[in-house]
Amino acid sequence: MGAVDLSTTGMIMAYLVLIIPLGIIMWQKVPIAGRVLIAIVRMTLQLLLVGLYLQFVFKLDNAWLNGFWVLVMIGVADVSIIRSCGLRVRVFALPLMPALLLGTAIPLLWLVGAVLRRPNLLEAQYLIPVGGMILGNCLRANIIGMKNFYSSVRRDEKSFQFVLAQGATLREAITPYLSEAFQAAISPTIATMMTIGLVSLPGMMTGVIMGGNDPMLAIKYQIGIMIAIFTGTAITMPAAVLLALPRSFSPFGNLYSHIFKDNR
Amino acid sequence: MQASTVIKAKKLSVSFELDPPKIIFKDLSFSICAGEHIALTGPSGAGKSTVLRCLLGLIEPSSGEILIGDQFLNSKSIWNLRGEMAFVPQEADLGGGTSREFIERPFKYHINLAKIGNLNRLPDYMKMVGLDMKLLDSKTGALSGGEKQRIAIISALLLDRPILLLDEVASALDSDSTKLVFDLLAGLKEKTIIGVVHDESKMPFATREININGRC
Repeated sequence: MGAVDLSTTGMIMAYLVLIIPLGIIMWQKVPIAGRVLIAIVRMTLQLLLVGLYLQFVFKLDNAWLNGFWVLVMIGVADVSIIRSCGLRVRVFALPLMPALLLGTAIPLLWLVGAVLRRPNLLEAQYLIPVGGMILGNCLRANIIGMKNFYSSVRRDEKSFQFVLAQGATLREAITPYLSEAFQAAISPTIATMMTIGLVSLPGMMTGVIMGGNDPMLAIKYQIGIMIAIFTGTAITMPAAVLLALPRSFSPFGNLYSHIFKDNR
Repeated sequence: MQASTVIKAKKLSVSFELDPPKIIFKDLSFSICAGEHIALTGPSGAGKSTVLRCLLGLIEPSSGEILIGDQFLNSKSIWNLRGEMAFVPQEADLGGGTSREFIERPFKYHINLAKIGNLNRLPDYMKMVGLDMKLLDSKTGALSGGEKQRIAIISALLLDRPILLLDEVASALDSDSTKLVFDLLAGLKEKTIIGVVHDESKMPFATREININGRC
């Protein structure tokens, strides 16, 4: 038994419910109605395009194409993280890429190969949805972590430089900032793990259940994916900061101001 | 016998990349010998604190060169040269822990590991600058500006480095504390001290003045 297909009427009904939030927005005179409409249109178009592309990718199930698609997702995440952190894309795009690649590939291939025991590690059915879930969480963690790290060092520039003056190496000087940023980055994932099942039923689990499978199977998948997400976020954030060190700090250990979009 | 030169700045210029570029100072040259106690003076904005930050590699000069001991200051040598200098900033940020944690922190850095024994001198220094030992376990946020300043001075002295760079260290001190601190610093004959002050009278133990007029 698979999931129930959504008819055209069903889809229209799904959109119709938007009358409620849009009505609240208009009633409260919150000036975001335009943005909400653009977001809904963008979401629809993006998902339709991705849906069409994924149909094609799933049909072909070519390992190279599947791998390429994951790389495209990583590339989009790369630029999105840097922009959301208020940092310059030309400075961070290159060092962030291997961090995201490592953080996504290690838990993804481990989950597909060692946990699910699929003979083909690049099988579209697993690689793309699981990769997307890991990457989506890495994206969120990295935005929090990198933003926290660079804004803290910038805010405490005098204290940071005082530590350098006391003889700390760059790694020693950044350690407390990296530690704080790392905690901030992984905290949402830890909070999710603490409340999962009690407060929320994640998308993957509901998807498996709605697909007509045994809830216990959904639980097993969810445990695997949560561990993979946690591993991915734990790898990506510190790796991104460490790989970007030569581009964000001068050889004297001073934070470059030109790495920020609002360079002042 | 003439003392050896420990710090030499040659045609040092610092400007910030603003629109238009802001020139802090241009072609500044000076030499400082071992054991000298220098009062670095000049009007506000002349770049006195910037000179100290240049020596520490915290501001990178736009041109010119700095020699410390027999090493040119560059991106490779700076990591060792910082181990030759101790710095007390104008308004020391002691972080969020206790005074003791602030004082002990630099001894966790690789370059200072061998000097951990210097912490034995802590009670003596606390007494010399007029601070109670109980203050060591106080949160730094509860300290007055003058207490913070003296804790920062003690931290620098415990690192026992041949060059001391002091940026208006007496600015938050009352007259009694200033006298205690200056008496202590004046006794450090073997150390080279550069103190940023508005005028030489603010550093009575200075053996020489270097004035930066800011309009080189």
